[in-house]
Amino acid sequence: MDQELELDLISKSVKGDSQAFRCLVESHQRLAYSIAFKFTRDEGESEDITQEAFIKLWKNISHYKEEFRFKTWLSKIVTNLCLDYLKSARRKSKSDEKLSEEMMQTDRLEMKLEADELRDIVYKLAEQLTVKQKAVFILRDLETMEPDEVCQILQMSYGSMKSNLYYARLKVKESLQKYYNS
Amino acid sequence: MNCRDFEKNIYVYPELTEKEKAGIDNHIKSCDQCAKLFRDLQQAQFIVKQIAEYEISPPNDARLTSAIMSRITQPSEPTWLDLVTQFFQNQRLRIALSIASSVLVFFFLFESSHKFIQPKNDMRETSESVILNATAFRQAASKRRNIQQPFAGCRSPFKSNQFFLECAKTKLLKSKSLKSTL
Repeated sequence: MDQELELDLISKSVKGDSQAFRCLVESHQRLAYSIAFKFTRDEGESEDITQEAFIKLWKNISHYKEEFRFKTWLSKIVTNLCLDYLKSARRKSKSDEKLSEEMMQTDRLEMKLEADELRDIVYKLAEQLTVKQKAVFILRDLETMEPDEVCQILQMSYGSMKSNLYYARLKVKESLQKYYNS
Repeated sequence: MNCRDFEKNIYVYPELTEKEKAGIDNHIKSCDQCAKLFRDLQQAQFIVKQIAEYEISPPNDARLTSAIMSRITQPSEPTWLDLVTQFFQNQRLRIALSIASSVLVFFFLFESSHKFIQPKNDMRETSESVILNATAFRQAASKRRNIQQPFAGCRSPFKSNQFFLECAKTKLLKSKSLKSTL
């Protein structure tokens, strides 16, 4: 979306124009859903997180600062909600269900196309990372965000971001090598 | 710097400065082990990049937008502070209150002016009553004078009360004998 148009929509939303906010929702909801899905790997949870993120955004739209990109601000809200979800009991009960479901689906997985299969493998690998490593890996490598943007979203130093990225890429590379060698 | 230091930086090659990148480029020319790690990591990153390009979108964009917008436009449970604020922000109510206050001010001013005039009436009534009282006093005085007239010659500031009583007795007896002869 054009930066000028985006700012215009934001200023209208600040004044309570819900139609202007609708335009912002329509143009950014895919990004919010995409980040949420990479964290949760659950359609329902991703939709809930996307909804929550936009409601938070609507309530706090008057606090928006022009020096930040709207996309970065939204990503930060979504990421924080995802991190809360990962810490919650709701996620623990769901991941146990998912594990047994995935074991049953192993045969079907083999039938899938290679790209889909690889995607599932990488997402599963991300599950094994620590929360910080996972967040850095998703935002930097899967959402291809700029390093400074990732630091802003996760409120961490450049050094800390590089360190978490190192461990995440090390684990992903080793897992992919194991997959290809087997 | 040894291979271990370079190895750590190879994982975060895209996040390095130009100077650090040049250092790694020079090192891998002379170190086969680090060169192999660099190639393996490039491959792994290529796979991850392919996965990143795969767009993840919500199952139904329009439904998600509607769900978000319905939650935004849906009125939330107002707090007592919101109710008070709304009460005073209501345009019609403000007009009604200003009219009511104007009427009250007008009524107060009218009442005040009415009360201010009132003392004049009171004064008139007082003066009338004084005149009336004076008339009554005059009537009472003349009546008293008529009663006292037969004894007019008996009163004297230089004589005692005993003299007055004696004088009054004789005058009464005189008037009685006069009435009997008539």
